Amino acid sequence: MLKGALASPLFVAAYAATSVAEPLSDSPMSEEIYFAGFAYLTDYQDVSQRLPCTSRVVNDTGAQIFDRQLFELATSVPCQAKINDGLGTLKAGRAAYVTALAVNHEITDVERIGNQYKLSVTLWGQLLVFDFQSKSVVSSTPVVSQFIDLFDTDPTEDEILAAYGRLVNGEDAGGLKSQFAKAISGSILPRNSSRTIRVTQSTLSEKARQQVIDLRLGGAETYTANIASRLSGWLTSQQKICVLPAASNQALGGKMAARLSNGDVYTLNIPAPDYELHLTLDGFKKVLVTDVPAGKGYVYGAFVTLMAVEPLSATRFFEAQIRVGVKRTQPATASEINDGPVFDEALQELFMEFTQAIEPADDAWARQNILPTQTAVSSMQALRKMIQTCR
Amino acid sequence: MSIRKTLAAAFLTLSLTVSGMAHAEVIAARGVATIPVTGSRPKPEQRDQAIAKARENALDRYIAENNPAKQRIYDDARGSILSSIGEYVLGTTVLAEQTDTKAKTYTVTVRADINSNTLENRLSDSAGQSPAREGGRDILLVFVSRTPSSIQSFDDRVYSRVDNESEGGCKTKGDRKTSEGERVTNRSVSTSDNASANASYACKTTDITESGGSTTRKADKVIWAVGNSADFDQQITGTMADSGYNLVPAEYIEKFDLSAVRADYARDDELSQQTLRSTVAAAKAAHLTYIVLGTMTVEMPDRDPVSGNVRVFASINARLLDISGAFPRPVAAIGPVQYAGLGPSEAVARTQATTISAREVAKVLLDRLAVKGVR
Repeated sequence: MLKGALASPLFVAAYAATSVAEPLSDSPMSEEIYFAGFAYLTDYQDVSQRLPCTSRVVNDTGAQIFDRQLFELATSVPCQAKINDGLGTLKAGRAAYVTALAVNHEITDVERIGNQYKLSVTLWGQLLVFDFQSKSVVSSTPVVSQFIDLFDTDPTEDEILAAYGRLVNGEDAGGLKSQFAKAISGSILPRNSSRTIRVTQSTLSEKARQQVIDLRLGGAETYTANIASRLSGWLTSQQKICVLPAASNQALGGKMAARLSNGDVYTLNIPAPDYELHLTLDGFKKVLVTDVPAGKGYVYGAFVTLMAVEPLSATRFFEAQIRVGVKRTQPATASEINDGPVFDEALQELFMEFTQAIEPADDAWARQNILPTQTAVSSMQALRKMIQTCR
Repeated sequence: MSIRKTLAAAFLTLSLTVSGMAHAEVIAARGVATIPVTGSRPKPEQRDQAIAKARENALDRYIAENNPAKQRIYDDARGSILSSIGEYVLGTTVLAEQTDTKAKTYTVTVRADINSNTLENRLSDSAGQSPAREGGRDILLVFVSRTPSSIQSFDDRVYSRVDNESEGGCKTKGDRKTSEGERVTNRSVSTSDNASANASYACKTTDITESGGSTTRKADKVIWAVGNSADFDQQITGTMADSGYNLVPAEYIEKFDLSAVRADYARDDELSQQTLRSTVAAAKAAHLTYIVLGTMTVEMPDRDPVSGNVRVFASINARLLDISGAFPRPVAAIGPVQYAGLGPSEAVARTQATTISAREVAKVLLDRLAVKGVR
């Protein structure tokens, strides 16, 4: 449950290493992938609410100009597949792959340390490859970018926007473009899945619902959709399986569909999956673990209940509560920690660790983080077998 | 030479088969089956038997999602379809298996990949519908497409009233006492006086307020513009022709007043009595025995909140009339049903809504015609 301190720059670097250090497929792909550019993994109507700064920066740059920059970047790095910025056609019996850099949410965190203010802006997203034939996400590589700056005074809105500008358009190693280039060069297309899986239910408990509002993590409905999308992405990237999208959004139904000349791709009817995942965010919890003159140490925990089921026979492969915590230290000279971003990070860590621990089996992690503990290992084993059948 | 011909035939067959497979529409359907077992796990032949039953269950469930007319056609042909199920189910994937040792049962859930085109063709053949058959029924198609050219919305008319009533009163009470005295002695005369006063004041008021009113809402005033239904006509005509029916556009019927039909639908949702009678008379004069009458109302576009695309809804109302007798007899009624189309522009979204609507209407019409034995 306890994790080492995730100092933000280190987390981003470690994360990037996880996502990139994949062996290239031994079956070279000659698949053509149509490039849709920059998109949002959220409903069109929620873009300005969930990503106010990012969307503004992209609009100020010019959406088409930004897409062009990303395309040129994508074609300048070695990639297994052929990236095409033209229009594709969906033909019966053939896959139609479209890729986009789709962002999920942004986090702005201001922390006072002594006489200075630390501004940290983080952008979470995925490099998605979607097959419009099978209506499934065939590849997902998480793309996390972050920029940190120090100010003598509380940063203004313009300064925060400028930080996002540097994060999105800049050439920093931790910036969006650099992380995108790494993801493109490491991304591979998995084999076709024989069985499909999808997050069909995503809910917040009453406690979690209130916490999401109090922590200003966004509206309850958008956060519900957001966590379903995140779990889907992690499952695809960590277990290399095709996952049906939890729901349509601006990226899939709008930006990516526009890369195909067929008019009917805009009506994205996601098929019923073979296996369903039911996700419930139970809530967040903050615990004081150390209190010394130099500062205080906290553990921020995220708790979810996950069920994997075959819907027709109601066969349950997995049903348990998962909990993961992240440590955060508040120095004596620092202001109070903004809890919202840290809890969100804990949730992200939960999804990443859990999907990693499915296969290869990590029984130690399961015993530590899954309740009830007595059945943790056997539950993961049943889930593993189910996931194996999806390959 | 004969070897060359054999090879050419084989190649042609293979290419047709491959192309057929490449263009097959494969629909996934799930089925479940439970069989009795004696041991802790089923024997291989028992497992195969359960999977076969589950596959049939999947096919039944797929048909169950269709309209009642199609189900009726399937029920009539179910035996022969199941006896050659391999032609319609391309593959079976086991999703879950469970053995209940207490109940001594084995349950398997499968996903069956159904060749929907082949199955639809089989059902059409059972219903006597085939593109190859000759003498297909001629059906007059009268479809009008309309869009709102203007929509006038009215604000709520609010009437409110407040009645105030107040009553009250004040009471005062007081008294004053005075007294005087005089004392006379031999040597002096003294006087005294004393005065006291009491007063009290009390007021009581009551205010009564009554309020009320009413709100009157008025329906939107819509002015319709009758448009071109060529996209819809084309789609439905093609689908019906694939099953051997010939849809005759209204423009080809002599003495048929299409402008009257359009004018009626521009004003209202129904044809006037006169227009209806003249339509039937014109169709009878052209020796047609069936008419499809309907409207497709294409709503104003809006923005899809999820994808950001333009969204257009199309509402369909249609009915199929048998006019072979003295009076028209309704054979099928469809709607009102709504279908939405999405696209980057209004034109694309409208085309999608039209295409989906026409396809769904044609499916229902074909199934109803088959059940009624109209071939």
